[in-house]
Amino acid sequence: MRAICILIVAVFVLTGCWDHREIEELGIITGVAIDKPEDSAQSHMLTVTNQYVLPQSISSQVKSGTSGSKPYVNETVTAPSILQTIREQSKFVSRPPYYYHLKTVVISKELAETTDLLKLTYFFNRDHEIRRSVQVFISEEEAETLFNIAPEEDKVPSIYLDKITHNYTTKTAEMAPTISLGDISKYFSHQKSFIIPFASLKENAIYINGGVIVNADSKKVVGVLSKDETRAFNWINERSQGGVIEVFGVDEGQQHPFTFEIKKMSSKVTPNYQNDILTYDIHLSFQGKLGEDWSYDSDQFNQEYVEKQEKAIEERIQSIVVNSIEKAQKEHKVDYYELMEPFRINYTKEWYKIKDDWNQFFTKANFNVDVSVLVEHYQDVGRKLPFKP
Amino acid sequence: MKKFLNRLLFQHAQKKLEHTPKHIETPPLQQERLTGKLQDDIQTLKALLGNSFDLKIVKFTSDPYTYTGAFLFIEELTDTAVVHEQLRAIRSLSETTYLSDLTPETLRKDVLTISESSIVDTLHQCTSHLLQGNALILSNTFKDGIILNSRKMPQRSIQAPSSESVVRGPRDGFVETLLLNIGLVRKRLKDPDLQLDYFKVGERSKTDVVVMSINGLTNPKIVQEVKNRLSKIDIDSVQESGVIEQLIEENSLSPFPQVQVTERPDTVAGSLAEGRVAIIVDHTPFVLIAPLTINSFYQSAEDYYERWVYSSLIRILRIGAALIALCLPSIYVALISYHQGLIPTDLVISLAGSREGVPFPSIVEALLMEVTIEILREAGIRLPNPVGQAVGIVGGLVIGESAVSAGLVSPMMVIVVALTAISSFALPQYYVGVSLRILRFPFMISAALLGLYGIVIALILLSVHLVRLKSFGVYYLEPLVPYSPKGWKDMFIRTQTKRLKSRPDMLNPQDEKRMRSKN
Amino acid sequence: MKSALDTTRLTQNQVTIGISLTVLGVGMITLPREVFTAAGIASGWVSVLLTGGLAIGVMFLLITLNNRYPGLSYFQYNRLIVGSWIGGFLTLITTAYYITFAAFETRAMAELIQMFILDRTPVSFTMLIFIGTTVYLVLGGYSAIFRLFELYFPAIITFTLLIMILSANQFEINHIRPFFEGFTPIMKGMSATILSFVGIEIILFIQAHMRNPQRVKKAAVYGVAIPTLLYAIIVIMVGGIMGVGETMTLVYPLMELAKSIEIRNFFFERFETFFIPLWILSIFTTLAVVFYLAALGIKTIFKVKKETAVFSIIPLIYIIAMTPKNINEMFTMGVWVGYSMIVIGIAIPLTLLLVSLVRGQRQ
Repeated sequence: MRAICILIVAVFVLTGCWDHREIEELGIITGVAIDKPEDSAQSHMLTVTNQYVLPQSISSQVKSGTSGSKPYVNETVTAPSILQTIREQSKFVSRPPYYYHLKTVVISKELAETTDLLKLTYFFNRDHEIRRSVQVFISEEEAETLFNIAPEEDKVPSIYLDKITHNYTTKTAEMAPTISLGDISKYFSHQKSFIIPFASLKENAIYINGGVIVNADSKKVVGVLSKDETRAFNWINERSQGGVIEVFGVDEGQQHPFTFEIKKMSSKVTPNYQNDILTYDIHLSFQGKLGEDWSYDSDQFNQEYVEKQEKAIEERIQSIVVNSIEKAQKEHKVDYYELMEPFRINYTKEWYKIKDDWNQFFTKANFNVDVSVLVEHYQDVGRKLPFKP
Repeated sequence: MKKFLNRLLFQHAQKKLEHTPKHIETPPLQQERLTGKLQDDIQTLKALLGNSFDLKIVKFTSDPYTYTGAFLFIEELTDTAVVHEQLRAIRSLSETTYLSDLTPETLRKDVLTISESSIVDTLHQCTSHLLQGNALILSNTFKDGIILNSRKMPQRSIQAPSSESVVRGPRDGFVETLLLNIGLVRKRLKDPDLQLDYFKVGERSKTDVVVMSINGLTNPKIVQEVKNRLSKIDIDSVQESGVIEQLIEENSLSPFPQVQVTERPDTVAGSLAEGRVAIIVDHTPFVLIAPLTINSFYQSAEDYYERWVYSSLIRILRIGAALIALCLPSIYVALISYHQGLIPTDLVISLAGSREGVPFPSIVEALLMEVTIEILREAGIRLPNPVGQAVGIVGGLVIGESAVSAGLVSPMMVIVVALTAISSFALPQYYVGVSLRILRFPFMISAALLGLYGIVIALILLSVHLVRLKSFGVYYLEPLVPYSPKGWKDMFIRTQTKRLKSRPDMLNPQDEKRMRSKN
Repeated sequence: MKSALDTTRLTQNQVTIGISLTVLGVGMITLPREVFTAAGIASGWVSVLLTGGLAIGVMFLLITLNNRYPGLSYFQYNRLIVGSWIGGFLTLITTAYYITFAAFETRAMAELIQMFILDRTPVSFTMLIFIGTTVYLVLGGYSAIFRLFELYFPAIITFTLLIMILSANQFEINHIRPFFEGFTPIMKGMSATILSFVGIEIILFIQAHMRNPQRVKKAAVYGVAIPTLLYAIIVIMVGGIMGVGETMTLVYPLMELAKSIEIRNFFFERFETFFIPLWILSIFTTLAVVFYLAALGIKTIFKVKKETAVFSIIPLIYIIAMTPKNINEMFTMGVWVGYSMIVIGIAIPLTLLLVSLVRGQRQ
C-alpha cells in the first residue's frame, strides 16, 4: 500500500510542474499602447504596442553605472482584437508575454474618439493576470511615441508614466485625477461619465495636462478639458488638496497680480429638486497662504487689505467654476463631475425615472456656486517696504 | 553446566512473557539458592558469569584452616579500595575471634565498616549485584552471601551543558551518572513529595531508569502512562535515553519528537513543577521530559529568568525563525517559478536580472544549495572544533561566493539558503531545528510542483498531522488548541511572573495553583 | 493508545467555530454578486443580517429536535422517529447530499485554483490532492476536525479582516447610499443569501458529541452570528469599493477586491498572496466536515469500518466533482446543493420534530 502511494506521488512529481515558468524566462510587459493603424485599409483593426522590460540590461546598468542600450523593447502588432495581437506576438517574441506587472495602458485620442472604450478595455478587465490598478492615459499623439520617451532617472517609459501620477493631488490641481482600469470599468457599470488624464509630448518629455471626457452614453472621448476646467473638476469633487491660483490684483486696473497657494479645500454639493427643476448648491471653501504679490500697496498686516484679497480670490475661483460648469452643460453636454451621485442619493425615486437621460437632464440644471476663501497667513514677510513709495 | 544453560535460556523466555517493572525480577526458576558450600557456589557463579577472567576471587582463611571465606567482585566495576578495607577489617578480627562463630548478621553489623551492605541468598541476586559492581562475601560457615556496596562510579565533573547554553541561568549540566543527576534535580526541588520510580530496562544492559514526578501534583494518569510504556519496553540493551525515547513515543513516523530532551537540571526541575514527568537514564546526560507539547519548540528555560518583555519578544522572534526555517526556501521557489506577479515590479526586474544565465530551475538550485549546507553542517559537527570552524568558513564563504560567480546559483538564492540555515539554529532546542530542516525538503518539492497551492497543502497536511499527534495523552498543540486562555499566558508571549498563577491546565495537574495567595 | 485525559468531546468554542467555518465556504467569495444581483441595490447587506437571524431561528428548532434524543445524532435517532426503513432512507439521501456538497466544494476550489494560480495543471490533480488531504484529516475523527478548526479560525478571520482593512482606503460611502430603499429588494436579497448558510444543519450531528450539551444554544447563536457578520462586512465592503453595478459583473467579487489592493514599496505588493490561502482554508474546513458526515452516513447505512467508509466515497466525490462541464454548471450545482440543504437539512428534520412531538416520543 505504502509503496503504491509513493509510486503515485513519484509519477506526479516526475510529470508535474505544468505551470512551472522561471522568472528570467518571462517577457515582463509593463506598458501597452493602443493606436489606430496607420494604413486606412486596416481601420477596423488595432495597433498594439507592448513594452517589454529587459531585466538583465537594467541590472547590469545599475551595477556598472553606465547607461548603455535601452532597457526595454517595444513590439508593435496590428490585429483585429487585443488578444489576437498578443497571440500574434508569440510568433516572433521568444518569451511568453507576462502581464502581471502591467503598469500603464495608453490609448491614442484618435482611437478613443472613434472606438467604444468599454469594449476596448474589456479584455484587460477580464484577464486575471492584469490588475485593476493599471493606470490609463489618453495620448494626444500616437500612443506608441510616448513609449519611446524616458528620462535619465526612470529608464522604462511605461514605469516612468506610472510614477508621474504619484505627483497628482498634492502638487498641482491642473492634472486630471489618475484613473485605473478598475475605475473605468466601475464608471461604465454605473453609467457615469468620467475623465481620463491626457498625456502629451512637449520637447521630448511627457506632460500630463488636463484630461479628456468620456461620455457614459457613447462610451467615447467627447472632449478635452482645459486647465481651468480640470481645476474646477478637481475642486468640485474634492480631488485635489493643492495647487495655486493666480489673481490679477485687487486694484482697479488689476495690474498687480498675486498668487494664492491652496493648502486645504473642501466642497459640499447639495441638490434641490422642486417642480422638475434641479438646482445644485455648490459650496467651496479654501484655506491657504499668500505666496507671491506684485503690488507695492500690499500690506498684509492690515486685515482689510487681506479681506480685499480674499474677495478677489473668491471671485476668481467662482468665475473658473461657473465657466467650467457652463461649458460642460452647453458645449460638452456631459456630466463628468459625477453630480448625479448626490441627486441619486437624495432623490432616489426621481433618479430611477430619469436615469437613462441623465446627461440631458444635467444640461438643464441650475447652479449656485458659493466660494469662501480664508488666507491663513502670509509667510515670513507682510509688507514689501516699511514705507509707502 | 548444561542444566544451568538450560535454565538461563528458559529463564530468558520466561522473562519475555511476564516482564514486571519490579526492582528485582524473581521468576520461580531463579529461586536457586546458594548452597553454603563455598567451592560449589564459587564455581556456579563463575559459570553463570561465563567464566570471565575479570571476576576476582579473593579468599581468606582463619581459625587455622577450618574457616574459609571469599570476596567476589568484578574488578573494573568495583572500588577495590573498599574491598581491601573490608578484607583488612576481617583479617584484624580473626586475630582475636573465631570467625566461624559469626553469623552473616553479626559479620555485617559488627565487623564490616561499610555503611551499605545486605544479605542475599539466591544465585540470581548474587550475579546481578556482581554485575552492578558490588562485592560479594561468601563463606563456608553460613549459607547466605553478604553484598557490599562497593560500586565504582567513574564520573565526569559537572560542566556547562553544551547543547543548551544560556546567557542567564545556572551553568551546571547533567553528567553520565544517574545518582548524581538525580541529586542535581533533588537539590532544586527539596520536596518530600518528589517521587522516584525505579526501573531496569534492557534484558542485557540492565540500564537503570528513574521516573521522577511529584506526588499530589503531577497527573497520575500521565505518570501511569509513562510507567506502563517503560515497563513494556522489550530490548536487549539501552545505551542512551534516545533509545528509550523512541520506544515510548506514540508515533514514530512523525518528524516531530514527542519527548523533550534536555541537559539542564533547571529545565527538569521546572518541568516537574509544571506537572510533567522526567525520565532519567543512567550513563547519559540527556534526560527525557514527557509530555512534550509544541510550546517546547520555541521555549527555553532562560525565558523565565529574563524579564518578561524581553522573553516574550524573543519567543516571537524564535517563532519567526521557525517559520523562516520551514517555509522560506519553498516560498522563494514558488514566487520565482510560479507567482512572479506577487513580487513588486522593481524586485521582479532585479531578480530576473540576477537569475539571468543561471542554468537550473530554481528548485534544483535550491535543493543544491540546501544539500550543500547540510553537508557543511554535518562535516562541521564531526570534525574537531577548530577544524570544524575552518570547514564552516571555507564552505560557507568560498562555495557560496564561487557558486555565484560561476553562475551556478543566483545571489538571492544564497541569501535565502543562508538565512534559512541560520534560522534553523536560532531555536533553543537542537532537535526541533532538525525536524524543521527535514520538513523543509517536502515543502520545497511541493512548492516546485504546485506553487503556492502546494505550500498551502503542505501546511494543511502538517497542521492536520500536528492536530492528530499526541504525547502521552496530551494533544501536541495544547494549549493552542483546544483553546485554553490560561495556557496562552505562557505561550507566544510570557506574561509577568506574577500573573503565572496556575500551572498549564493541559497537563491536568492535581494541584493547579502555583501561587497560593489571591493577589 | 487511549488518551490519558479525556478531551475528545467538543467544547462550546469548538462547536461555535465548527458551525462558523462550515458555513464559511464557497459562499463567501461569490455572495456579494448574488446578493446584489438579487436585490439590485446596495441595501442587500441587510438581507444577509436578516437571513442570519432566520438561520439562528432554524438552529433553535433543530436543537429542540436534538434535545429530545440526547446523546444521539440525527443518523441514529431518525429511525427511532419514523422506523428503520424510512430512517434508513433519510440517512441515505442525507449522505448523498453530503457527497454532492463535498464534490461541489472540491470543484469550486479547483476551479479557482485553475483560474488564478495554476492554469495548466490538470483540475483532477489539484482535486485529488485536496481530497487526499481531507481524507487524512477525516481519518482522525471528528475531534481532530474540530481541533483543527480552532487552529484555522483565527487565521481565516484575520486574513478576511486584513483584506477588508487594507482595501478600506478605496471605500466610497456613496456607493452604498441610499441605505434604505424599501423592503422588497431586501426580501429578494434574502432568497440569494439563504444558499450561503448551507452547513448550519451540522448541529444535528455534532450536538451529541458536546461535552456540555446544555450550552449548545449559545454555541449555535455565536456560530451563526460570526459568519453572518463576516458576510455582512464583506458585502458592505465589496459594495462600497466596487459599487453595486460593478459587483454584478464580477465572477468572484471578493477575489477582485483582494486583487485591487496594492501597497507600494512593501515586500508583498499584492495581496492575493493572503487571499489564496484564505480561500483554500475556508473551503477545506467546509469540505472536511461534509466529508466526515458523508463517511458517517455510509458507515451507518452499510455498517462498515470507518476506513472503508472514508475510502469508498473518494471516487464518488471525484466523479461528481468532474461532472459539471463548465463554470456555469458548477454554479448551478451550488444552487442545487443549497436547495437540497433546505429540504434535507431543514424541512425533513423539522417534519421529524413534528412527528416526534405528535407521537410524544422522548428519550
